[in-house]
Amino acid sequence: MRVADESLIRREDFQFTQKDERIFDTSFETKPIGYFKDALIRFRKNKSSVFAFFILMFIILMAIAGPYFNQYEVEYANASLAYLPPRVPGLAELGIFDGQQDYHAVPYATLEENYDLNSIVWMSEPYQQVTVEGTKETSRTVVDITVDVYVNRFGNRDIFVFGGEALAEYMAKPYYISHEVLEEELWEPRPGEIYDVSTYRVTISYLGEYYSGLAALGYDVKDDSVVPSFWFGTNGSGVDLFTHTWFGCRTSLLIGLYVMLVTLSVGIIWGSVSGYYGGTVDIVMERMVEIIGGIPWLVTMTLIKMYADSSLRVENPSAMALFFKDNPTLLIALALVITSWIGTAGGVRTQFYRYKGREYVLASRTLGARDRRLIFKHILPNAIGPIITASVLIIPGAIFTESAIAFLGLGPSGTIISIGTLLSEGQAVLTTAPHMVLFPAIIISLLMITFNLFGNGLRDAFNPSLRGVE
Amino acid sequence: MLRYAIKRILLGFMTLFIILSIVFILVKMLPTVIPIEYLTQEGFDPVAWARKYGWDQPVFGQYLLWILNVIREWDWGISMHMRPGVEAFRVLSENLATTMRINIFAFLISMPLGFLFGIIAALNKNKWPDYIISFFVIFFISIPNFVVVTLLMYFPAYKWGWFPIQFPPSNVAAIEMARGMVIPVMALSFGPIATLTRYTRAELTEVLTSEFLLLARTKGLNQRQCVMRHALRNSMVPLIGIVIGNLIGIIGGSIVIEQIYGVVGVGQIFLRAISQLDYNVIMVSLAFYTGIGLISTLIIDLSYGIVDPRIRMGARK
Repeated sequence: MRVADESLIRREDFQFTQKDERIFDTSFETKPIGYFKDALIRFRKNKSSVFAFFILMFIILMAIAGPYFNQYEVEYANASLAYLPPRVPGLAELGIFDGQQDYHAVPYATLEENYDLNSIVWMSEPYQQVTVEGTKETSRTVVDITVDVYVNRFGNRDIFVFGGEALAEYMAKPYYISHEVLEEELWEPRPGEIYDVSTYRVTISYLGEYYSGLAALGYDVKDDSVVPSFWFGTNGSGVDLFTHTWFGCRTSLLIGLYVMLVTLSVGIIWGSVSGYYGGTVDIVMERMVEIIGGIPWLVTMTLIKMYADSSLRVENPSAMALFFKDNPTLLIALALVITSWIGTAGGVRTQFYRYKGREYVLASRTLGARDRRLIFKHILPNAIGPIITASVLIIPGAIFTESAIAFLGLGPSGTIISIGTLLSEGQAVLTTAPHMVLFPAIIISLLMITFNLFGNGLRDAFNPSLRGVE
Repeated sequence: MLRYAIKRILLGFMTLFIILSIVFILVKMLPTVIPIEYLTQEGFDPVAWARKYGWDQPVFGQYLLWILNVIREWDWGISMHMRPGVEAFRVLSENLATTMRINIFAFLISMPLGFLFGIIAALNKNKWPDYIISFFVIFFISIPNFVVVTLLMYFPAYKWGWFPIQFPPSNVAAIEMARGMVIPVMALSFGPIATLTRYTRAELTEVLTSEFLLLARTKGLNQRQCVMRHALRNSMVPLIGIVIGNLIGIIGGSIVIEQIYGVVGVGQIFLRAISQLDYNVIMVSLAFYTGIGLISTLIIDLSYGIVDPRIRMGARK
C-alpha cells in the first residue's frame, strides 16, 4: 500500500514570503491613455492628415490675420486701379506675379505699304482694342506683347507697341520704357527718328503721367522703386484682392462655423431624444426628419431669398428684414442649417441605439440616474467620435454650398465678401483678368482637400475597430 | 424587400407632396405682379383664367385647385413673365433635353472610367498605380466642380482654343454642339469618376480578400479568371444602385455648371424665373429638383438594402 500523499507534504517546507508587510500593486510606468488621447496618438500616425491639418491651420490663421497684412483695408477701393494683375515685390524678379500681363494675338496692325510688319498696336483700354484708322483686315499680324499693367495704369494712358517707322506721330511726349528694352530707363524719342523696338519686351507709357499718377497716390515720384503692388491684384472696382481674399475666406469659414454649431446642437439634441426614447417619439421624429431631409438647399435658399427680397421691397421693412440685410451671411447660414442638421441627427440616433442598451447605462439607471444624466453623461461622450468626424465635414460642405449659391446669384442682396462671391465675380471676367479667379480657387480647393484629409484622419482615429490594424 | 421598396416609394411621394405643399403656400403668400400685357392679350378671358387657378379664393382654396390641376391635367399653371401664356411645365421641359443630354453623357463617361480606375487601384493595392489613383481621387472628390469648370474654360477653351468658351446655342451644327458639350460633360464627370473609383476600390479589395476567392484560386483559377468571374461580379452588384443614385443626384447639382458655362437648361430657366418672379415656373423647377433629390436618395437607400439586408434605411428599430 502506498504511503498517503499528505505525509509527503510537510508543513515545515512552507513559509510565508511576507508576513508583516502589505502588498501593493506596482504602479504603471506608462501614462493612462483615454479615448481622446488614443485617438490623438493614432491621428498623429496619419501623415497626410497631420499635413492637411497644418495647412488648414495656416489658412485659418491667414483668414484671421491676412486682411491686416498690408495698408489696404477691406473698404479700400480705387476705380482707377481696376483689374491690376498680381504683383509681389520679391517674386517679380523671378518673372511671376510681376504685374505684367501677356496680350497675344493683338491684330490691329500694319499699313503695309508704309510700315514694317508689326507696326502699330494700339490698345486703348487694356481689355479692348481699338482699330487704328486705315487698318486692313486682311493683313493682320499677330503680336505677342507683355505689358506692365501697373506702369500703364498709373500713367493712365494708352499703350503703344510699335516697330518700324510707325513712331513719329505718337512721339510728341516722353515715354517710359522698362529697362528690358533699352539701356536707359528714360527714353525720350524725338519725332522723326526711327526706333525698332518690335523684337523687345516693351512697356511704354507717358512718363509724366506715370509720375503724376504715382504722386496722386502718395508715392515718392523721385524714387522709382516705390511702386504700389497688389499681391493678389485688384478687381473691377479696384479693391485689394489680397485683403478681400482672406477676408472672404474668413466669411466662408464663419458661415461654416455657424452652420456647424447650429447643426451640432440641433442634431445632437434631436438625435439624442429620438434615439434614446425610441418608440412612438422616434417614429414621429424620423418622419419629420425624412420630410425635411428631402428638401434640397436650392429650395430653401430660393424661398429665403424671395422672402428676404420681398420683405425689403415694402415701405417699412421689419426689424428682422433689416437685420438680415445687414448680416447677409447669417441669412445664408440660416438657409443652410435648415436641412444640414438631418445628417448629424441621424448619426447621433444610430449611436444612441448602439449604446443605450449597454450594461453601464443599465447600471447607472439602476443607481437612479435621470434621463438627462444618462444621455449627456454616459451615452453621448461614448458616442461622440463619429459625430465629431461628421461635424468637421460640415464646414467644407457649407463653404461649397455657399459658393454654389454665389455662382447662381441666389445669395441675399446685401454685399457679402466670401470665397464664393469672389469666385463668381472672377468667373465673369475669366478671360481678361484670370488672377481674380486664381487665388479664391486655390484657397477653396485647398480648404476642401485639407478638410477632407483631416476629416478622414479623424474618422480613422476615432474608429476603435481600426486600432492596431494600421 | 419588395414591401420595403413599396413603402419607401410611397413615403417618397408623401415627402414630395408635403414639401411641395409647404413651398406652394409659402410662394403664394408672396406678393404677385401680373404683367399688364398679359391681361390685355387678345382672346384672353381673365374671368375664366382666374377661376381656373382660383384667384378668387383664399390661399388654401388655390392650393387645392393647384393640386387637382396637377394631378388631373398635369397643369402646373402658366408662365406669366418669362413667356406669358405658355404652360409653366412646357417652359421647363423644352429645356430639359439639354440638361439631360449633358448629364447622360457625363453618366456614360464616368461609369466605365470610374469602374476601370477602381479595378486598377484594387488590383494594384498599395503599389504605385494605386497611389496615383488614390491621389487623384482625393483631389477630384475635394475640388469643387465649379473650380474644375473654371480651369477647363480658361486653359483648353480660352488659351488653347480647343473648345468654345461658352455653350453654343441650340441651332449650331452637330459638330459644334459636340465640341461645346465637352467642357460641361468633363466638369460633371470628374467628381463622379473619383467617387465611383473610391467605392469600387473599397468594395473590390474587400471581395478580393474574402474566402470564396481563396477557394477559387485553390481550385485552379488564375488571378485574371478569379477577378473577372468572381470578384468583379460580386462587387458590382451592390455598387450599381449606389452609383446610379449618386449620378441622378448630380442632375440636381449640375445647375451650377450650367449657369457658369451658359448652358440653357433647366437651371437657367429656374434662375431666370427667380429673377423675374415667375412663380409657376419656380414651382415646377422646385418640384423637379426636389423630385430628383428624392429619387436619388430612394435608389441609394434601396440599394443599401440590397447590399446588406440588415440595413433598412429609415426603418423602425
